[in-house]
Amino acid sequence: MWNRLSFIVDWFNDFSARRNLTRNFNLSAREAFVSGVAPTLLESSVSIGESAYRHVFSKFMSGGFRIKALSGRPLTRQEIISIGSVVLENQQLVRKLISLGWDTLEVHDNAGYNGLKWKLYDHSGIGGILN
Amino acid sequence: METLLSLKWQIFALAEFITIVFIVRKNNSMRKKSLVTMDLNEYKRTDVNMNDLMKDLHLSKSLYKVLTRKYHPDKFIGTMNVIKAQEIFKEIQENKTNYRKLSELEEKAESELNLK
Repeated sequence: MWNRLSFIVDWFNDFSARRNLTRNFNLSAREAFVSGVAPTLLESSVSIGESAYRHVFSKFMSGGFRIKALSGRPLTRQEIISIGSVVLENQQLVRKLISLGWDTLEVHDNAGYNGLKWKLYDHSGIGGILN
Repeated sequence: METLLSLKWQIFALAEFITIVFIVRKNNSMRKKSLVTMDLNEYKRTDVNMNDLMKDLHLSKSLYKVLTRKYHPDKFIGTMNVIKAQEIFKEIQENKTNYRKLSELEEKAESELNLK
């Protein structure tokens, strides 16, 4: 019973932490866009994710961290890769995403049909422990 | 009266039993926590600076290009600063997407390599 109770408390804690992370990302992206630092507005949201990329801490039906670039034009593959690689090279962020139950990073634009997915597990740098 | 007393003792015994079970289970669950869980829980608490991330996303690429051109070690061949320039250039390449680190390296390069 107590285990179940702590499980429920943990679930709510994780939920609020996940919500805070996406909210902070969106606020910072908005600030950067308004102040002129960023030429495109980015927006993060939660998606289902890729089932093949799941790991032991994945959240059910919400393992995807999606970054949408409101660019107004289709982004090239290289531009999408550059956005994804900056996120993936931030070890702290990747580890936080994994610990909060995300398993897939998705980047796509709002105009075209291009989009890329990355398996966060491969970029966490803690493969030794997870393996 | 006797039945009331026995009922009272039964309630006490039950409460004591529940407390013992709770303590034992709590200890067991603490023991079961693996290193992975401990490690990942630490990361849940750390805050990622999203403003820095936005700068990394949008400004690091241009700054990296400027720095690699300005402080390329080939520019310092035949001077005393070749080794320093190589070290700084290596650091610049390692922190390609870290805007904050690149800014620090720019200041370092300006002061150490005497280039403006």
